[in-house]
Amino acid sequence: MKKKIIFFLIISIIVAYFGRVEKEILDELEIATSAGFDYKGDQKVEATAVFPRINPDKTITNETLSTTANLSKEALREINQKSHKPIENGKLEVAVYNEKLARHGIEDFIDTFHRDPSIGSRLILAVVDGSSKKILEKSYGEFDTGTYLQKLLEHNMAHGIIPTSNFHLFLSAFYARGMDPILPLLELNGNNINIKGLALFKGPKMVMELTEEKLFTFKSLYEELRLAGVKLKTKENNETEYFSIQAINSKKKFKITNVYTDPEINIHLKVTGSIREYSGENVDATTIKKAEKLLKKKISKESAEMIKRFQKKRIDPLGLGEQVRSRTRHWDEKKWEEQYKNAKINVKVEVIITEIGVVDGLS
Amino acid sequence: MKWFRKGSKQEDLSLYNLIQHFTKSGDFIHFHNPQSPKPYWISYYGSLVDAEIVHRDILPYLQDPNISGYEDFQSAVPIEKVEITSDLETIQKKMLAGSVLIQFSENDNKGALVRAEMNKAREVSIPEEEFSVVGPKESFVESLTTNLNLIRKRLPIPQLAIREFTVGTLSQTRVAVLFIEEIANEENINTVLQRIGDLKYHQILDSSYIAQMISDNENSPFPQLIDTERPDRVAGVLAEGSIVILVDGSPHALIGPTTLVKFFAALEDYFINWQLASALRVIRLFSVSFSILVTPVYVAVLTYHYELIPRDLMATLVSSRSLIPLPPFLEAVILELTIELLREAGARLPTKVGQTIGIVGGIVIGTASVEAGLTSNVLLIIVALAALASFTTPVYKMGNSIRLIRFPFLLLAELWGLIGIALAFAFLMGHLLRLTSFGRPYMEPIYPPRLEDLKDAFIRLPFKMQPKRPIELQSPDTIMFSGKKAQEMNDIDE
Repeated sequence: MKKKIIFFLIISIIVAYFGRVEKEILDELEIATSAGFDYKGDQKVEATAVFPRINPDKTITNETLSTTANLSKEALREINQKSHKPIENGKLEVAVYNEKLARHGIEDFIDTFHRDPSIGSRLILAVVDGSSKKILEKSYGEFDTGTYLQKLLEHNMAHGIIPTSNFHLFLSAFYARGMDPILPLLELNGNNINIKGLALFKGPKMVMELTEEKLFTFKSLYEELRLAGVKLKTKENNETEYFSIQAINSKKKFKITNVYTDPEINIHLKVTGSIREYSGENVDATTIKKAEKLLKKKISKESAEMIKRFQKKRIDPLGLGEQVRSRTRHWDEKKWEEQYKNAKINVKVEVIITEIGVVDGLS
Repeated sequence: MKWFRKGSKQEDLSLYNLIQHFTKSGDFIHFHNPQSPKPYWISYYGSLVDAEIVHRDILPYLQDPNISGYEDFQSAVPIEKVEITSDLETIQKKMLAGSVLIQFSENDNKGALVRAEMNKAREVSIPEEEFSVVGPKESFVESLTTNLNLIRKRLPIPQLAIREFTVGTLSQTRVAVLFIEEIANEENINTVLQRIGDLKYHQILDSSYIAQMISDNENSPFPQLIDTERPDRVAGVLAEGSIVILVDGSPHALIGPTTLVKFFAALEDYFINWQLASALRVIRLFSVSFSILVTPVYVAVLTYHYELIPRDLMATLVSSRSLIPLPPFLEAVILELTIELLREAGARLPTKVGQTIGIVGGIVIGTASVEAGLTSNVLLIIVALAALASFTTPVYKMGNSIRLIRFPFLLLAELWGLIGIALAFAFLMGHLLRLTSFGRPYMEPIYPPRLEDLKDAFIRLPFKMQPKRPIELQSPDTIMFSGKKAQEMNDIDE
């Protein structure tokens, strides 16, 4: 018994002493919520870290530190030298890159995040038109910029028209065969952050930009819409009419024929929504027909145009190659890339207006 | 009895000498009445004997002129058993238990022993530790006879067996082992009887002495026998096949074999409907794990894993901690110790002062230490909640164990964070899995997994769904009642 106790004590002392883990006490850290990277000439990057300074009276002030370096981890070390508490990146919510850097390729930055165990895969990535430092240094309301950006993007992804995107989805699109990644594109507009559109990547490099107006169509093709909204405009008898269609849900189905020879992709899109506002006189059965027609026309026109542009740039943000691959045995990537250029891609849209509000005006 | 044995060597063994020895004690009464028709000597311990019985039932018959000897007296006295004996040891034992010795001659070597013991016991009162709003409100008292009465009343069957032992060389405590024949497992009965028979100790003041001495693992912080003050609970477990130990002078009965989950079952669970009872049990189990884990998790997360803190909580935590000079571990230990101190002070003080201590400690110290910047208010809430949660255990002794095992968790959380907590949990599980109660597994029905027993473990299913006795108790008679519905009767009107 005595031997056992002594043995146990010795073991526990050894383990406790040599098995120590580095302590990271919460209130002795600066916890970065956002990081921004700006292109500064050849192989040089200006990194900006945002961390909320939580004051004892529970208010939050937005603090930023930036430095220019060659590598992002080196930048972190240099920023640490400027800070009075160690900066930790374990709660990074948003990482932004400016457009110049994105066009140059963000492979290195993705890779270091990928290998860092303290970076979560729900980190949101975004591209900024202009300087990311400027966007991050500004404070918006009661939050620090990282939190603000994350909240802004997240609710727009859940119920808005921004396609869902985070680090995990970016990586899967990046490494998947037959798919190219996308990221939301932001811009600073006065005192607000605006969603400018979508940055489309070919591998690690941004090659194309999609404007905000096209996002509705893009998102319905890319994934499923959930309670989104869209504005329709029509000119009839020299009178412009506006529709506001809300609560739009969409579903898509792929049908691919001739997968082995010359794939023809048919996307069947089903969109349901309700009319919330109409600038014309009454909402009645004809209005519904009109709205359905308009929305159908808008989506089919925009999607055809969009896909043509994608084919021209040889990018595949919609993951059509992935759809083909999943239906093909011994799929050949090179062969597909050749085929994709001229592949026939049809979008068939079906629009149903399910309701017009609480009061049923139809008679 | 030592003096007796010692004395027997030197002095010659006679009743006269024994009584002479007794008279040295101040409360021993020994007097001679030469005026009565038949002169007699009467001797007894005044402190053990009910004077009423002596005056009413013994003395009038001694004055009776018809009585000429012990046999006449024996048949005349209206007391169930008058023993005429010359066995010194019996005489001594009986007199020390409250019998009166009658002799018709001082030098007689025999005498008549009449039972006249005083029964001064507390009134049967309301249970305090295991109080329930609904259900019976009787609790055990310090008298074994009363306690047995309370149980027999609830189980009026001849199969209820009581085996009595006398334990304690000095205290001569009566210990009763209760079980129902043909329902309790033979092996369990023998284990209990053997362990109690083997007990060697000088003094048994309470049933918890027995509980500690016959436990399977005496070094475990976990109680391996349930102690209860409710006769209804005892009757309930006897019917299931458990074995109950009652100790004279103790208002707590011991129940075994038992399992860990049974410590979290209150008797009230059986008095309310099963959905509510199940919900309450789940809440109780949750609050126990909360009580053990919450402070260690706080320490681990704040010291090592800041990533785990939700963003919206971060501001609250950081701002509450920003002025605290102590690391989370010391802060937590100090607060935990303060709570333990308050609890201990409250338990040792009389009720009325105890309440004041609670208010002073809880409100004044708590608020003041937060304002002084010694503890963070988040931790104060956590520690107070953990303390409160540990009180939800229906068995008091289990609550104490839970108080204790929080500290090793805290230490390991400080050393290795959440990995340390996982390690402590692994140790705890290992220990619990090894524990047995009278040789039956303590972690049943989790391990060994027994689906049948889960019906009355974490949740309590309706009575009609549990027609079988718990497998844990290995009862030879497994069926408690027929699970079939009673034949439906037609309404009288029809």
